[in-house]
Amino acid sequence: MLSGNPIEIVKLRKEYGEFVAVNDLDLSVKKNSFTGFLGPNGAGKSTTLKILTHLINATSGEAYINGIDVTKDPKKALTNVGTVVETPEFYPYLTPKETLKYVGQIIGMSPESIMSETDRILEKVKMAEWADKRIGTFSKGMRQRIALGQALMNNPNVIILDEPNSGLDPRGQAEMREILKNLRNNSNNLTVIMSSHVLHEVSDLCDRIALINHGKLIVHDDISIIGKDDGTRRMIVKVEGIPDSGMIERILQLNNVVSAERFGNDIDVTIKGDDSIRVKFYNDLGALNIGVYGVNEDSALETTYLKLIKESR
Amino acid sequence: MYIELDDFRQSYVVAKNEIRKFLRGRRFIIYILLTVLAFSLLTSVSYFYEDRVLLMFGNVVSLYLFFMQILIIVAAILFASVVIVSEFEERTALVLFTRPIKKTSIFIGKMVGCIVLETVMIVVYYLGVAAAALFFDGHISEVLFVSLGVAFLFILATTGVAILISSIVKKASTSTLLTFAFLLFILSIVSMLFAVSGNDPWFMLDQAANSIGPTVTFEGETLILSEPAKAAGVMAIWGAVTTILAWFAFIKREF
Repeated sequence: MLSGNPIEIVKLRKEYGEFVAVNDLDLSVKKNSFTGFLGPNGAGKSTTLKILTHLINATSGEAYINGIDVTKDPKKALTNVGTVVETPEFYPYLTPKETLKYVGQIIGMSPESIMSETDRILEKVKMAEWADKRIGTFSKGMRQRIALGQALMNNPNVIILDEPNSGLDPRGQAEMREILKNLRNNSNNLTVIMSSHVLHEVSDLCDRIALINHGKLIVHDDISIIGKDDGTRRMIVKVEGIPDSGMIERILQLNNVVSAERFGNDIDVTIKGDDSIRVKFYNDLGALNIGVYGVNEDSALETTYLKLIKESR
Repeated sequence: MYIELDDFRQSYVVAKNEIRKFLRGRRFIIYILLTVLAFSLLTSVSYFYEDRVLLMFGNVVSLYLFFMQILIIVAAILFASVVIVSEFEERTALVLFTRPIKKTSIFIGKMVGCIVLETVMIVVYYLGVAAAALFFDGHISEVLFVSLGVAFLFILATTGVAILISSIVKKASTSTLLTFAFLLFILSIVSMLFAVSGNDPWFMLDQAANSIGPTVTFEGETLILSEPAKAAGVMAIWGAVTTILAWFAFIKREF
């Protein structure tokens, strides 16, 4: 029984010989949500999204978009869907305007609406001034903005993004994030699922998170619940020289330290406690005189993510 | 599987884009230059050495059509051999294939785009040959029209072969090289093997292609095509079989 959500994945499975990339995955993406689709490399995120966008075929199971099974009728299922899978390329001999027109014609839009939509979208993805230049000369960031633009043609109610920022430089990533943020803030009837490795980007953009590993769903909930601070915090303590077992032993003896282990030339420490406990930990750490010159603290989402992935191994 | 009118409309959009792609590409310019060069050289030879051409080919038109199959093969190598594989290699499939369009519509559009472009170029060449026939012979033989018909079927067959290779291999350069090798010498070698083993290789595509150009006769200026109906049948079968195999390989292919 389907829930009526715009994306419904039921017992989806993809096998490559012996290897199971997606393992009877069940996932229902809430209407009007911006869902971050997370998981380590090889977890099955891209495979799932490629099945949803009909780039690959499922071994078994169902994947519904707007109530239509994409494995059975991909044309109908993808009718109201925009996609950016990885970093797509465009025909270099076309201009952004011609590219959007081509996509509009494929979708079946009228010439009038293609014209008005093209101008609106190029404005939205900040490519209006490049509208009539051939794409072959564009940077990766510009091409990715065109990719997002073509996904927006005809106002889709579902957008599927597979690592839309991958391969972009920091400026390109920031521009892309800004456009996605505007999209989220200014759309009423839009459901987005976006896979990404960048957790701060996900926490910045998404209101829900679905985490998968080994092709199976680990958790799927509001980001406010998943990223809720349970008091556990992972941090990387940077020390002068190479940390020895004596140093690690002394850190472990500090109050509220859950674990401490060598992490390359640093020490990976997990503590449990509220903000005042963390203040005390920093003071105690300084008092140890072991040559600490810096501490990188993971965000609550990062800590939860790593914990869940570790548990699911 | 069901077919809607919209599927054909989408094929038309894809075909139009394919033609635009070729018209704006370097391969098209290369092909035009090659064709113009070939036509100019043949016209020069016909003009300056007409007597010897008549002695060797029986007719000036025969000289022009003698190289027709090469021109068609070159068109298949330059255009059809990259039409599918480039979508995967250049990652443009990530845009086109994720749209609400059947893979069959994409396949038909791409195939039709190639065939239309190749046919238009070959028709233009035949118009040139017709003009040459008027200039040198004072009339246009109906054999030229039959030859054009057989040439069209050869376009279908070579496009089918090229698209089949393009649907299977991973790189455009490999596809171009394999199409070149298959159409220009593998077919001929296989035909030769049949011939030396005492079997008539009439069913081979390269043998059928010989019917595009008139057979040399020494009985005046009569143009004769060698069994054009049989050649057309062979080409049609090659075209149909390779196209079906290419379509199957394409719809099964994953990104």
